[in-house]
Amino acid sequence: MDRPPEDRTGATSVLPGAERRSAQDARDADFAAYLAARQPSLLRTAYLLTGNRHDAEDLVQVAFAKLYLSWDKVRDHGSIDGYVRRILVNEHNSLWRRAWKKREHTAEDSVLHALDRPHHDTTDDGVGSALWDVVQTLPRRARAVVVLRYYEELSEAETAGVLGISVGTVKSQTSRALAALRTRAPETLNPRASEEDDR
Amino acid sequence: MNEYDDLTTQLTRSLSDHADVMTGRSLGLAEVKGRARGIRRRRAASAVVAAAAAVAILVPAVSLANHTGGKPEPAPATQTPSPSPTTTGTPDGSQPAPGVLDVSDLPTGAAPTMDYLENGTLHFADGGTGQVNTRYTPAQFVEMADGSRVWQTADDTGTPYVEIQDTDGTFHDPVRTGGGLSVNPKHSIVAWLTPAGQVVVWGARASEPAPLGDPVPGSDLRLGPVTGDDCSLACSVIVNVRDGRGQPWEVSDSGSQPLRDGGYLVVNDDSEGGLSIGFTEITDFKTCSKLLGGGEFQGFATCKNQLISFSPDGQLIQALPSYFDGVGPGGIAMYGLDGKQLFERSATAQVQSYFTVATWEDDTHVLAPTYQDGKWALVRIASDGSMEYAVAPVKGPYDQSRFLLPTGGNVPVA
Repeated sequence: MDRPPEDRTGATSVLPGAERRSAQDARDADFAAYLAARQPSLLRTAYLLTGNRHDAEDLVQVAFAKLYLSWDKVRDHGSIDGYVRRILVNEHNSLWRRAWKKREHTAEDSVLHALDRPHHDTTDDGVGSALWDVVQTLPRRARAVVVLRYYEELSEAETAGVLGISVGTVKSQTSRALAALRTRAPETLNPRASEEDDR
Repeated sequence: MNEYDDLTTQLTRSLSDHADVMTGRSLGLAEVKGRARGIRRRRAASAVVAAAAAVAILVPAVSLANHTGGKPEPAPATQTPSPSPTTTGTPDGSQPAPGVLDVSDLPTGAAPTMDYLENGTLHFADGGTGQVNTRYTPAQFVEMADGSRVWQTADDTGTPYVEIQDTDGTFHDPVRTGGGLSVNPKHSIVAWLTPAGQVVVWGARASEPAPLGDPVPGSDLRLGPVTGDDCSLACSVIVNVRDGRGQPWEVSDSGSQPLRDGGYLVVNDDSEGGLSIGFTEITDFKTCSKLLGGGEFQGFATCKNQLISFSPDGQLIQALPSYFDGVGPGGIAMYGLDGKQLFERSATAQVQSYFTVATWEDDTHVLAPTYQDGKWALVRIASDGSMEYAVAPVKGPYDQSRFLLPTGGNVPVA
């Protein structure tokens, strides 16, 4: 068995253990500072992904817990924000959870049917809410693309990196999501349709 | 500013407005560390937990079909396979009321006759155990006819990988995947999808995985059934595109093309007898399915249940509720090929149970990791609706199944 080193007096030193605790404390302090600084922002992104407060909080807790487990590795490599964002999105898209949330599958699958329904909200105040309603019906990955591109304002390449998909897939998903939003969006976003209706 | 700019500007504003109202409760370091400890525990290979299975092997033989605890059970349908008495049972527990998926106090039956993963430990059908040496955390696995295993794993960020474990236990380097494994009935071909929608197949004398067909366009791709025995000769893989339009694709070495046969939105399974099952209608409130007939079977359609998979002999169909939400399905049913429902069991307001995936153990039984009252159990369900524990309940978090069964179940006996 390894013995702890002895100091010059021959007594067993307690320094290594203390150093370890000190290093652990410093690590935790480091992480806690990051947690405090980034939590509000990550919570907002999680809310946009999940659409409800409880799931958002749970998602953020899991993301930070996984980040904590990898903290030394990630901190040394930098890009902590990208890493935790990647955890957040992947966790949200995780197969295990998604596979059994059948209610959500059917919601996803019915998006296009929903988009066919007439929508008559023409007030400016209703535009944001209408868009949000449609965003919430998008399939999870498409929704993640929308959130990363238009809320986080990541580039296509950065979005592809977070989601682990190709830039081409990001482009096609973005295009389809916008098409869905445009179809369902209030007439104020589709002036040509309004003009045609007026005729 | 054009129409496109208007939309994206409004979208950004809408997202920001809605995000800004989300303040949430403050998360402390202690909470994060507590959650991290839980994750670490689950990741770690656990100590061997074989007590329940060992006890089950030693008990006197009692037919699962007959062990009803004195309560009536739905009679097995005629002209369909009867559940064979594969189990040995203890006089503990009893059958719940007919129609109810109550797994709180079942009789204990024999240990699973297939390998399974429990909290990181691989339990073999012969009672032995082994450690899982994948680089990342297992999420799904397939047992191949040649003795190799193919794992789908996920790294710390949740990014999925495929890890092939050769028969000697050595692993190929992990390769990125879009998620999901599918295996043919003979377990000679396993397939997965790359993030770009390319089907990749492995097995049957192949030394390395190989792409099959062309990449399938679309988002949210899910693997359907794999047919054929050897891709060096001929094989095909169905890819379901769950983007709302519901157009499955058939991928083979001839290329990839939309599957027009059957009029399915989603293809769930093919039988070796040439029958297929899948979804024909999906709405917010129900999912309709059909069996596409052939030969003596005319086929049938139902909106009462989702038809999910054929039994290994192709004579029974496992089904789920037409509509379900929450963490997992809260009901299970079985059908004969003639469309007759053999039984159905469902959770109720009083009995809050659900399972992850029900996997065929043999021609007349499925195994299902099932959660109820804070515990996970591996439950055996027979084609007459009777149930028993294959592994007794153990406490666990509701959103983390303690058990993982091999996709496609057992390797068929040659």
